[in-house]
Amino acid sequence: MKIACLRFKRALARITADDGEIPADGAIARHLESCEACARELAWFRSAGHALQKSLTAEQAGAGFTDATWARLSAAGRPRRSPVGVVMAVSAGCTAMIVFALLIRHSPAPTGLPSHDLTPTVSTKRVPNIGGGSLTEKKIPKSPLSGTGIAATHPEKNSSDPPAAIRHRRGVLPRGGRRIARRLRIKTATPLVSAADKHAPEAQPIPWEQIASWYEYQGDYRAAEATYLQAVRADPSEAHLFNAGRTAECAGDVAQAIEFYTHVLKHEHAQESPARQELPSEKETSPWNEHSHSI
Amino acid sequence: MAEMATTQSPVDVTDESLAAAARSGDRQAFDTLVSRYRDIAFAYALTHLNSREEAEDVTQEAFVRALMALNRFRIQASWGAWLMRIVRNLCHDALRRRRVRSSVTLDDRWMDSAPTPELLTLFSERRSELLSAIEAMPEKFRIPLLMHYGARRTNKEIALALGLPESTVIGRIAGALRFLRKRMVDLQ
Repeated sequence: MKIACLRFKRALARITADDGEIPADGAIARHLESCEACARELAWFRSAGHALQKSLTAEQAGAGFTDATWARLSAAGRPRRSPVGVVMAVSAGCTAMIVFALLIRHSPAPTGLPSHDLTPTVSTKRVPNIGGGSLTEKKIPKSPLSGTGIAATHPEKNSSDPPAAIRHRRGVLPRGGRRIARRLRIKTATPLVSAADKHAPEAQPIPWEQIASWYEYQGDYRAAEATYLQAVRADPSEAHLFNAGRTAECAGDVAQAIEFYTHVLKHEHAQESPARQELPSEKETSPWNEHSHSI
Repeated sequence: MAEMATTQSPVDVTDESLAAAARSGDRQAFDTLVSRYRDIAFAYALTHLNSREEAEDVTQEAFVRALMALNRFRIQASWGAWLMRIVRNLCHDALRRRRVRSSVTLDDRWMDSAPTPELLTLFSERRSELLSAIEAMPEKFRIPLLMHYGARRTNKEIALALGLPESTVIGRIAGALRFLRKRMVDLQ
């Protein structure tokens, strides 16, 4: 094989694969005139191409191809969801709503209703004077429960009363009220029961500290602080007072926090004089009370 | 858009205009568009899948998808190239599902029932050897070869179908011929 043959070897098949025409005045044409082997190879390729073209037959798409494609396109253009699916989805939704309503209706009634609604508004209050000394006056922000129909009860004046419970009035829960109630693990949509209802012995009152934790969780440190103070009244412990100080600190009221911490220390040193005794009356210091009182 | 597709000669109307008209319900535009690409799309699918039913299904699905997702089509690109890309993807998906990629025997549908004199002369009645030689080819050679000689598609159409430059397609067909010659000569 000549060197020139190697040069044109690849071009021969390419000529066949293209249009089969050889450039008349090109180097390939001149080489083919002088090289019998390359001319034979080109003839083989041409014959092979011709034979393949005549021998290989591919099936064509069916006659109904266009119509079938049009039908598929028309079907795809319609909403994918079948009417059966829509009906099933709607009926499932309705069933779920009915079941939910029935569950709510037959849920047990909560007990331990407050004697009055203590839903707070922005008010001025005095922090309790625990261990002596006057505390500064401050604003209590509006509780997230306010206006929702959910109200946190405070302990009755009688300190032996159970801790507070959070109630709601059926059908008056505004937007978000049920969600808050659910977060507080309160059964919603239950019939309204009076606080004086004696038929609710299984009441599970929610402790003040739990409510305060909720406020804290929500970032409402002022409300949390006030609620911790309520917890102190219900159960005079340093932990609640310390928490009140902590939430005051979180609220940015450092001076108030220091005061609370001071009271904690004093309370620890004066075990014989419980902080509870030094607390002002609940009516005077309730964070939910709109009236301001001086200690 | 639909008016433009119907008032002009089908040759003058661009694929994009026809596609938009077809999408809006113009059956004539749809027919024109399908007639432009049906054969090449089907040929490509058939060479890959080697099953008429599957090839038809894939081609139809490609048309539907290409028209349904017309709003995602970039106007800078060719609609035909976009369609063929969908065909290629669908073919690959079908092969992946089948998990016997390229292992399907090249059946007799690619061979005429009556061998031509050229074939008889050239391959000396070694028809099965020809088929096995084509089957043994790398896919990059076999697909253009079958589309060119079997489906009678031009190199330009094959280039569109494969998403390659036309010169590359010519080179691959030439490579297929060289492969075939080497195989047949070796067997002699």
